[in-house]
Amino acid sequence: MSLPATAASLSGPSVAVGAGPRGRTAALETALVRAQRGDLAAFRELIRTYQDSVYTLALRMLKVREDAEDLAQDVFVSVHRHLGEIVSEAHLLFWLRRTTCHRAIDRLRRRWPYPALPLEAVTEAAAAEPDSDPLLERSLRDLIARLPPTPRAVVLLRYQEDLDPPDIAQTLGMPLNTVKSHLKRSLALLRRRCEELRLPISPGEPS
Amino acid sequence: MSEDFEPALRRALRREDPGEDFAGRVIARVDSSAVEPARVAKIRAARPRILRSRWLPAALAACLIAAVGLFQIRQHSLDAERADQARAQLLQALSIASHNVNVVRAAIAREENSNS
Repeated sequence: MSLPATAASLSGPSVAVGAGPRGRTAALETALVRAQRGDLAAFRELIRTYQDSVYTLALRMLKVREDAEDLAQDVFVSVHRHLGEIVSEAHLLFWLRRTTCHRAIDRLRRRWPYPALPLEAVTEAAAAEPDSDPLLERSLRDLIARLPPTPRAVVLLRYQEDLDPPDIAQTLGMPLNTVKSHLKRSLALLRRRCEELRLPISPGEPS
Repeated sequence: MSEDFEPALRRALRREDPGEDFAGRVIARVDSSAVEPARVAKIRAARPRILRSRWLPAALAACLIAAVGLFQIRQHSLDAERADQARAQLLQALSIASHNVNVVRAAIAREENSNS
C-alpha cells in the first residue's frame, strides 16, 4: 500500500499531546513503534487518537450505530494484524481511512438494495424548526446518507476528513477525474435537494 | 438566516465519539482474536498426523472414483460373459433342432420310397 503524498493526509484527529503538530506526530510515531513491538497500551493510544475519524466515517457510511461500531472495531483489529506493514503515522491514518471506506462500501453492496430514508422525513424535520442548526445538520446528513456508497465516501473524505481530491483518489484507489466527477455531481445533487426542501442554506459557489 | 453550503456541510459531518471505552472493546477483540487461532492450532495439532494431511480428501476422492470404475468394469465383463453363454446355448438349441428336423425328413423320405 503506497503512502499518501500530501500534507493534507497528516491532518489527523486530535491527540492528547500538548506540543504542537510536530510533537503530536513524534508522539504518535513513538506509539506506533511501541505498538509494533506488541505494546497494547501504545496501541490503545493509537486507537484513541483515530477512533473518532474511523467511527464517524463508518457511521456516515452505514447509518446504523451498531454496524458502525462493529466496522470500526474490525478495522482496528485488522490494523493490529498489519502493524508490521505500517511505516509511519501518516501511513497508519491513510490505511485506516482506506480500509474503513472499502469495507463500508463492501458491506453496503452486500446489503443492496440499501434502504433509503424517506424524503418526507427530511422535509418534516427541516420544516419543524427551519432556523435550528441541529435540524439543518441532520437534514444534510440524511441527504448525504442517500448518496450511493462510492460518491458518499468521496463526500465524507472531502468534508469530514478534509482531504483534497488527489488524496481521496489515492485513498479510494480511483482516478482523480472520477473523484472530481463524483464530488461535482454529488454537490450539485445535494444543492438541488436543499433547494427543493427549502433548507435555510445558500447554495454558494461550486468549488 | 441562511448558511453557506460547504461550511454547513463540514459542520454537519463533524466527527463523533464512539462512546465510552471503545479502545477497551477493540483491545478485548484483539486479545480474543489472538487466543482463537492458538486454540484452533491446538485442536488441529491434537488430531492424528494422517487426518491433518490436506491430501487426505483428494486421496479419498481418488479411491472412491477408482472403486466406482472397477465396479463398472467388473459389471461390464460379467454382462459380456452372460451374453457369450446365451449365444452358445442358442447355437446348441438350433443345432439340436436342425438335427431333429433332418431325422424327421429322412424318415419321411424312407417312407415315401417304400410306398413307391
